Amino acid sequence: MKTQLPPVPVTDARPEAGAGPGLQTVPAEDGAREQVTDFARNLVRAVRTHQIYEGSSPVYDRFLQTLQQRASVLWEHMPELHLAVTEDALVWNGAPVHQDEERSGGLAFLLYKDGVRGLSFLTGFGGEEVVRLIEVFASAARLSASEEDDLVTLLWELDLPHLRYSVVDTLTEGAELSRTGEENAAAVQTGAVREEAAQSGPSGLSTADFDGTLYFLEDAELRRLAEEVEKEWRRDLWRDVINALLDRLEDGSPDRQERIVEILAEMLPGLLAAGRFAAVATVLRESAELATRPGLLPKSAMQTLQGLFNQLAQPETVGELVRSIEESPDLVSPEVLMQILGYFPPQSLGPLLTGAEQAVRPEAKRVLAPAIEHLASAHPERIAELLNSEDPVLAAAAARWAGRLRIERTTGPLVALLRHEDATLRLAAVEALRELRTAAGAGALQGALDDEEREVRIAAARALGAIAYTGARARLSAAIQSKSLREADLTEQIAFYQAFGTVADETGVQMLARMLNAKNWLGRREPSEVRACAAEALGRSPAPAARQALDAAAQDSDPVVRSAVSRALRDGSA
Amino acid sequence: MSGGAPTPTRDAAPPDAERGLQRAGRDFVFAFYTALRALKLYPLDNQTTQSSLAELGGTARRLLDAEGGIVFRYVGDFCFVNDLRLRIDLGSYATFGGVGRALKRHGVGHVQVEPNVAANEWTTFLSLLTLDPDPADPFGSFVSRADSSLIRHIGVGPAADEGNPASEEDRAKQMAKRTYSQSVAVAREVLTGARIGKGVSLRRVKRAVQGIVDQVLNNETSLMGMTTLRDYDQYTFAHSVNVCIFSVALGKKLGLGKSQLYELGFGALLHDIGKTRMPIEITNKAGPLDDNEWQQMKEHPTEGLLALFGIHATSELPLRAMLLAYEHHMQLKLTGYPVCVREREPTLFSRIVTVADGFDAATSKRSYQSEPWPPDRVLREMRDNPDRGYDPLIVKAFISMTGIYPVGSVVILDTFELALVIASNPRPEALHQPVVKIIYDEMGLPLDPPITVDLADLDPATGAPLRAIIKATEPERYGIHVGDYFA
Repeated sequence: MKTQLPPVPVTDARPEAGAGPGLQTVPAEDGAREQVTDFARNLVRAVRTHQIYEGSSPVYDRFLQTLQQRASVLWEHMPELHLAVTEDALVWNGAPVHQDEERSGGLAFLLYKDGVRGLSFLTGFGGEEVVRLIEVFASAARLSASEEDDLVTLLWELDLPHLRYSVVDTLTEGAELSRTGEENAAAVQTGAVREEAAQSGPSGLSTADFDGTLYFLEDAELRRLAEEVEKEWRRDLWRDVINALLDRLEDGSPDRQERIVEILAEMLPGLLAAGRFAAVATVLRESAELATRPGLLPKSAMQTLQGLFNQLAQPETVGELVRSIEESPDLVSPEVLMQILGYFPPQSLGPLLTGAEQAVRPEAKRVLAPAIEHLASAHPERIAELLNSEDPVLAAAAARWAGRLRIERTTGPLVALLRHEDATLRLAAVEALRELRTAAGAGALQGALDDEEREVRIAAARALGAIAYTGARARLSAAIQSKSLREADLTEQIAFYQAFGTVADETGVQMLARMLNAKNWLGRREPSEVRACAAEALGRSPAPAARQALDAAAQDSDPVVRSAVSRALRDGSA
Repeated sequence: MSGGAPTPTRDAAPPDAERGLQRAGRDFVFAFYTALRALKLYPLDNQTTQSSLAELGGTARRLLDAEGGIVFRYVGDFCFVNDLRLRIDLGSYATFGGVGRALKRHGVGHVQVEPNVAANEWTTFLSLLTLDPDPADPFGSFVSRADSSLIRHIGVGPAADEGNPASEEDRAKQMAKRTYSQSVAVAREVLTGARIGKGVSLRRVKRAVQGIVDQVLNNETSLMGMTTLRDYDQYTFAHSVNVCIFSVALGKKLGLGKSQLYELGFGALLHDIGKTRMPIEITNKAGPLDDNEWQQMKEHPTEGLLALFGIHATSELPLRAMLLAYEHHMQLKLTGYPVCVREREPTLFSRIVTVADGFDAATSKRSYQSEPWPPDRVLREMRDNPDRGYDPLIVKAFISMTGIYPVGSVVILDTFELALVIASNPRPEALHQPVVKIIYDEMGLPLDPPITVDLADLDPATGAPLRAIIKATEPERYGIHVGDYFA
């Protein structure tokens, strides 16, 4: 009897997963077993080291490289490699080439437990495919039973061109469709077919009814379909889903409305996390609008909705929002952010300010600013409250916004902050009071001229100069004549002199003129720095005497003085 | 026997030689069948047996003298002798079918006979065929028995021989059947689980849809054939799988990639998940629904949308699937249900699933539909009736995919034979000429096995098609269960 060899049984598998030549065995040849064993050994090692070092280690790199080399050697000797998978071994040509050491922790078991019964590596398997395959094996090993993926679904998604695999689905294997039980064998009534053929119906159709050409897709139609596919992939699915939910929130049973509101509430954090701010704005706007329609939503849904808006005020929520804005690749537009924050209650202002203060990305700060301004303008009382915050970062931010928005009611709390132990906060208060320009604030700024912190002192002097607060004349006059200012750096000195020049009266101008031009009894003038500062101060004064004094020094032999005078004449009020 | 299996074609044979081989081959198969039958019925020394064996020896000798060797093989329903497909007609189909079955039960796909075959080898060979095969390994045991006999000049090859179109077809069919039955099992598990509030195993759904995508990409026809297994008892589950298959196949035609097909298939499989939240007495009602019941039934797309919010596991929400579930009755101009308040344009995927859903539902027997329509009538309705709300371009693409007579259609041929469409013609200009199985002859007698015919085949003498479809008919009218031919 002569026969052909029967084919190797094909394991139950999806078509790509191993049907066809991929599962044929390769005849053993000299040295082939050793090569296959070596390949399997390195495959297992690479997977194991990837698991241990999470894919980042010289050891893993070494195994990977070795495996890639072994694979390329393999293809010089065989067109493909099929490994059968048993519960604890990888088998080639009927004998194991790898045996798991521990039943549940090895590669064979990992494959077996998810239903993989064969792996076929085709010629060309190597390079990046090896890396990706090992990553998938390592990922699969970490999956728990409750997750939506297993090794088979991951391999499918991986879709490696030189890998085939055969699988069984142990849970549905052997599933059969129930049959109607009737047989087709009975003869039909003689003549029945001829009779029907002569009639029209039931479809009333003939081939002529379908003009063949009608059903060939024309080029224009194929292009349209291609465009449709493109469009489908670009469309905003969230918008469609949210619109569906909102449409159905407008009708349906109270029970369903309640469910939809719950879904919307659960959905918001995810949308924020994903940086889908336009969708968030839509949800808030639409649900707020629906909530105001009399009798539309049942009480329970209204309560859920109320809970949602309350949740928005929580520091964590707002903090997350800011973080989300920072991390989102697509920066939210200020308009959308304002829409979102428009539904945030005043309590959310604090966390928002903190978040904005802590934001690192300049673009995020820029986007947040108008939104904060919008919310703070609507709730100035909240800014005043926040000035009392125990968190100096928050209080400082509130101070800056109090000044920027010129919220006069914050003068008192800002003045109180001038005595705060935190210098940053004192500085913010000074700058805010400068913006406020209230008398009480200006009066309080005088105290800051003696602040222990240089920056605060400078800011206070500049603020008083900016406000042109004449009440500070005496303090500034005393300051510029003090020993301590003479010992200060030039920046501080200039700040004080300029402030004094702004508010100086005739006596003050004379004093400055003397500083600039007069000589003492020994015929000496003041030091260059003092004379330059005096010139800066005179430049701020509108008095004619100030101009005269500057003109007199215009040709001074001291270049430092001459430069300061020149600048004062050009930029100042004199 | 050495070398690979022969390729079953002989296009270039001269007409006279071909006619001669047709006749000789047919005689050989008839003699083979007669001798085999005699051995089954009578003792070896019976005169009838002896004369039939002698006849077989004689016909084989004549064929061997003319051809130098004999290879006869079965490819699906076709029989080839030395690469020539033998014509099977009403006067021969039972004989051809009998020989094919006798070989197939032993896993034998082809038989090769060498010139110096002896008479007693035929006797032994046929006797082995009459024995019961070993169910564990029919082919192996046959070979083993043959090896220990005196047979030296007759060889056999397995039915699952590599490169054999018959085995490829059978294997594809088996794959398709397995994919289909597993997918229905998953759909049953998911939809039943959803009804009782049990968590859905996305892993199972994923595997099922991935399997369908693979099958459609590799052998679409086999899987499409499975959609004809319209089982009333499992309608809901099978319908979900059918819609998935049609959608993925249509998506493939539209040029979607593998991962896109997966997403489409995933949504399609779950498009009716909202029905699990409908009262079971409505979904299973035998007969038309009243107004109140219809109103309730119209809520299933919305319920589907909401249900899918509950099945996501670790990854993102299945937004496309949600929209498929929500929009699949919406219609192109939003004239269906649910009613839209805000701006909406049904997604491409929804429009695809709408067509697949409409086609499968209309051609199936289901609880609240009295009788299914013939496929071609459904296609025309989808094409011509704008009130149905289908996207005309998607319908057109669908028809160009299924052909005018989709797989599963029962048609009357101009020979007054009844046939079943088993594959659309791959040539666009022959959409009206699918591949069919003739299941009843012109006298109304069932053919066993049915004869597979490509309606685009031409009569060499006239150049005209050998057969043509007159019209489609209702399978129920003739007691035909279409699915049985694909199972």
